[in-house]
Amino acid sequence: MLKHLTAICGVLALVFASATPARALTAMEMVERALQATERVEDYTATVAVAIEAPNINIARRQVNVWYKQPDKVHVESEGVVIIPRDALLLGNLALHLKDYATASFAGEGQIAGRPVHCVKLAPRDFGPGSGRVLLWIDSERYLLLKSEVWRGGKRQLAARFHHTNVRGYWMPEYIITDVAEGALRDRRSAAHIELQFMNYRINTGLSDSIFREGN
Amino acid sequence: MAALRSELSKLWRQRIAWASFGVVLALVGLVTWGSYHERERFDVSEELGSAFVVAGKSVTALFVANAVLQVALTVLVPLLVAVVVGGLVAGERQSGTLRTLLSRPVARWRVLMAKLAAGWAFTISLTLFLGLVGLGLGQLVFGWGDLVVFRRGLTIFDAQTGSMRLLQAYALACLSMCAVAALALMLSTVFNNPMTAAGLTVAVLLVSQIVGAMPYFEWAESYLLTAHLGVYREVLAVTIDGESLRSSAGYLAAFMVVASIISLIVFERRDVTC
Repeated sequence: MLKHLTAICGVLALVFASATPARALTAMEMVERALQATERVEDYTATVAVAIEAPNINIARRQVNVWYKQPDKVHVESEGVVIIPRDALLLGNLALHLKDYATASFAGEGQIAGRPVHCVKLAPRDFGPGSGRVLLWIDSERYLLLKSEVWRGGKRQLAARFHHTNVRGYWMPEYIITDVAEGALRDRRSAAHIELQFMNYRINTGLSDSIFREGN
Repeated sequence: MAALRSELSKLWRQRIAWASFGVVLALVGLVTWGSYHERERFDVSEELGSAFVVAGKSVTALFVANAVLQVALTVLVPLLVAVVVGGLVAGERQSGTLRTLLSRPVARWRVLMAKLAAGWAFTISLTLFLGLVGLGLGQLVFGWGDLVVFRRGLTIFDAQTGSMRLLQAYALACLSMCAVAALALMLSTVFNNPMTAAGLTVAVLLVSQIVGAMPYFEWAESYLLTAHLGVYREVLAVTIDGESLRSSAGYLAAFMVVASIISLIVFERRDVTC
C-alpha cells in the first residue's frame, strides 16, 4: 500500500514538475534557457537559400554556404552578392542581446505557429522613449526563439521569424524570415524582406578558426 | 553608300580617331587597375552596417564596364567625339579638300549625310569599344558576377539582369554621344577651324552643365542637352522611370534631327571658296 502511495506520489510529482508553467521562470531565466539551447551548438555548416526582396535589389534566389562557430564567428561563401541578417546566422544572437540589454520583463504570451510562447522584452536599465529594446518570443516548452523584433527610438527596425527543425537532436532554424523596416539599413529609405532556408546541416564537427579568418 | 565609304575611309585614316581608341583603352586599364587595388572601398557591407553579413563579389566585369561608362561619358568620350567629328567638315575646309569634294557630281546633302553617318559610326564604335574593353579586362581581372551600382545608395542586379541592363545603358549612351556628334558636326559646318568647332562643342556642354547645376536656372534644366545626356543611368535602377527615359530619349532624338537640319541648311548655303 505504502509502495503504491509512494509510486502515485512520485508520478504526481513528475506530472506537476513537467506541468509547472514556464511562467514560473523569470523573464531573464527564460532568455537564458533559450540561450543555453543555442549554446549546445558549438559550430555548424549549412547550405542556405537566400531570397531578397527590396526595391533596389534585383537578385534571384541563390544558395550560399555558411559556417558558424561560437561565440559569433560567421563565414559565408557565395558566388554572387548576398545580404543576410547577422542575427539569423548567429541562431538569434541572444548572447549579444543579453549583453546589450540589462533588464528582461514579460510582455505577454500567446501562440506562434501552434507553439505556446512567452514574449520577453529586453531593455537597457535606463530605458527611455529614445532607447532601443528587443522583443523575443520564446517557445515556453522547448525554449526556442520563434520570433524577435529589434526596436530603436519607438520604431521597429528588424523582425525575424524562426521555424525550427530537429537535426539529430538539435533544434536548428529551417526557415528564417526577416523584415527590415524602412530606414533600418544605412543610407537606405526602403524596406527589405529576406527569406533564408537552411539545408544540409552539419553540427559540432569542430570547425577550425582558420575558416573565419579575414580573406577566407 | 560610296560617299559613306569614302567618309569612313577618311575618318579612319586620321590619327586622332585611332588615338581616341588608345585613350579609351588606357582609361579602362587605369580604372581596372584602380578598382583592383581599391576593391575594399567597394564593400557592400560598409553601406549596410554591421547588422548584416554580406558575401560575394561586388567588383566584377559588369562593375568595371559600368564604372568606365560613368567615368568616360562625363567628359572624355564627348571630348574625343567633338575633336573627331568637329573636324569632319571644318578640317576639310581648312585643308582645302572640301572644295574638291564638292566639285564632284554629288549633292551636298549627300556629302553631309555621309559625314554625319561616319561621325555616328565612329561615336558608336568608340562607346561600344569602351564597354567591350571594360567587360574584357574586368572579366580577366575580377571574373563574371553581379552588377553592383553605387549611386544614390546601393543597387544590385544578378549577372543576367545586370548584363541586360548594361547593354541597354550602352545603347542609350550611344544615343547620347550621337547627339554630341550631331552638335559637333553642326558647329563644324559653321566654323572653318576644326579646333574651334571641337572647342565650342565642349564649351556648349560645359556651359549647359554649369547652368543646369545652378538653382536659379532650375526651370530651364529640362531644355538643356546635358540634362538628358545621362539617360543611360535610368536603366541602372531596379525600377526604370519609363516616362523620364522616354522624355530624355525623345529629346536627344529631336536634338539630333534639329542639329542635322541646321547643319544641312548651313552646309547647303555656305560658299566654299578655298
